[in-house]
Amino acid sequence: MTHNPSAPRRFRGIRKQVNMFLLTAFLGFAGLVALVAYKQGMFESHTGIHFYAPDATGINKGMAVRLHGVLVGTVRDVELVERGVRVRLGINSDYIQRLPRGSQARLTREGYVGAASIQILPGAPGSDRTPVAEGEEIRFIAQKGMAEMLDEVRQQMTPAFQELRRAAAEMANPDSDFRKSVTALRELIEELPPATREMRELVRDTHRAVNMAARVGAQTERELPLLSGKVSATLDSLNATSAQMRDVLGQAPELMRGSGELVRDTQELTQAARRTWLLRDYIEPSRMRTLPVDSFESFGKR
Amino acid sequence: MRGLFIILAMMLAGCAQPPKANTAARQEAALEANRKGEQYVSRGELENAALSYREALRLSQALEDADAIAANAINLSIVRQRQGRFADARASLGAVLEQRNLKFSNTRLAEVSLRHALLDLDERNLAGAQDWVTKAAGYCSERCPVGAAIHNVRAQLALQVGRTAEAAVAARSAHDASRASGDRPELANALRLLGITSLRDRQAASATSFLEQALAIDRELGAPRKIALDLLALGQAAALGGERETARAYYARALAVSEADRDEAAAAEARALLAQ
Repeated sequence: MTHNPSAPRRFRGIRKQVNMFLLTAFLGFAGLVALVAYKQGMFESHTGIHFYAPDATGINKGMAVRLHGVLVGTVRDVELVERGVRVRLGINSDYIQRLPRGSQARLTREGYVGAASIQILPGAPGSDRTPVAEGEEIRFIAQKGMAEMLDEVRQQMTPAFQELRRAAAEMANPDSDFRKSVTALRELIEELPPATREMRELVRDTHRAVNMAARVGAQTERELPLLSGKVSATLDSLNATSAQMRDVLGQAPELMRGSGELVRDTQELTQAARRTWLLRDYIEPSRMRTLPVDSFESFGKR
Repeated sequence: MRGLFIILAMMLAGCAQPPKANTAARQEAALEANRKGEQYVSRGELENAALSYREALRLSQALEDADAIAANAINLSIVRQRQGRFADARASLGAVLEQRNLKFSNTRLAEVSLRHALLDLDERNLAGAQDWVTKAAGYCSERCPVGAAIHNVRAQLALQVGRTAEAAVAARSAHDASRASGDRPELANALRLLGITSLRDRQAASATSFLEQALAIDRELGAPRKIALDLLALGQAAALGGERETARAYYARALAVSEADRDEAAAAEARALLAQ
């Protein structure tokens, strides 16, 4: 008795089915790889350019390179060289025409916490407009950090605040020219009203004298009106000047008050400025001063 | 729920503003009053100086700032002493010595005790002055800024009771201490005291040498009252050496300096010596 082993019906054509399945899986995987490669720009022609930076902090391989916000390439490599670091960029050749030789690169960030990217700035209008070529170098603009910028601001502001402080101290010092001038002006203003009164009395006296003289003689009487008229005009003019001066003097107390407020405001401003973190490190702190305890304080009196 | 309340409370506590601005403003005001007081002293406006220091003291007391309290109490006592208001001068020092709840440094306590000694010395209460000097020395450690001044006060006390040798020893200690610490005013005081002790011992040449050194320092420091004292003592040293004309020249210089400084006591002494 012989037994002829034959494949079960359900395995018939299994080889073909397995081959079809493997082929489909392979094609799917290859398509996926191709899609990723396409997305990564593998099928696009790239032009390699580079720049030198003193510090590569924040620059990473694969970082986006943007022109006017449009992705035009990626950072291919960052390597240490004598001048700091050389950063190689792969720029999509479709965009290379828009990158003139005078272009500059800088590291930017989308907001304070956003992703960093390399931004390409096309050169200034007067610079070389021919497109950058393979292997050429562009300039890198080092970006100032927050601390550096604050330091710069502080350095620029410090002399101004010191000047302000000096001016306020000068204004507050009783021996300063400003305070002396204000005091002298006040004294002058205080003296002016009596002087005006005396001037008025003098005017009245003169007028009376002129009237008396008018009665002296007929000949004189004929000539006197003319003279009296001139004197009167002069006196009127003096009177008008006096009135104007009174007006000016009326404004003087307001001016004095304004000056006082200005001095106080300046002092407060200076004190506030001195307390800010920006300046307080540069200003010697004030401290309570003690008069010297002198062993001869009372010697001469005994 | 309870945990949420605790977290909220902690967040609110974190947002709370410390009362720093007010304290800083008060400290600033106290410093300003202290600075004004110093300016008034330099211009000889003692009453205004006293008012400024009293204000600075009040503001410092309000903040319980021990060092500032001591500084302004000492300043106020100096000004009141110069005005001849000894009771007020002592009262101002009470802001330190009668305040048991605040911790003052030994240096400040030594300064305050020395100020008490100087007030007693000014009022010729020599026993009281001696007690206070002893207290001041007790507070003074090795590197005490008023060490030389304490020795000089001891020398003055010894001179007051006629113990010239003891005065010379104290003045010598003051001289060494002030040289070591670089305290120029107290060095001049020590040299002046050494000159005076030499005068008492009738050693004209030695006295002249010490007093000329003191005069040079006092002129450097710009202290007219002490320049007048040096010139008067130099005149006495010249007179002791038999140089009457040189002595009169010194007295005349002392008179000119004291008149320019409006120091009536020194001017009167110079006039009296010129009249001899």
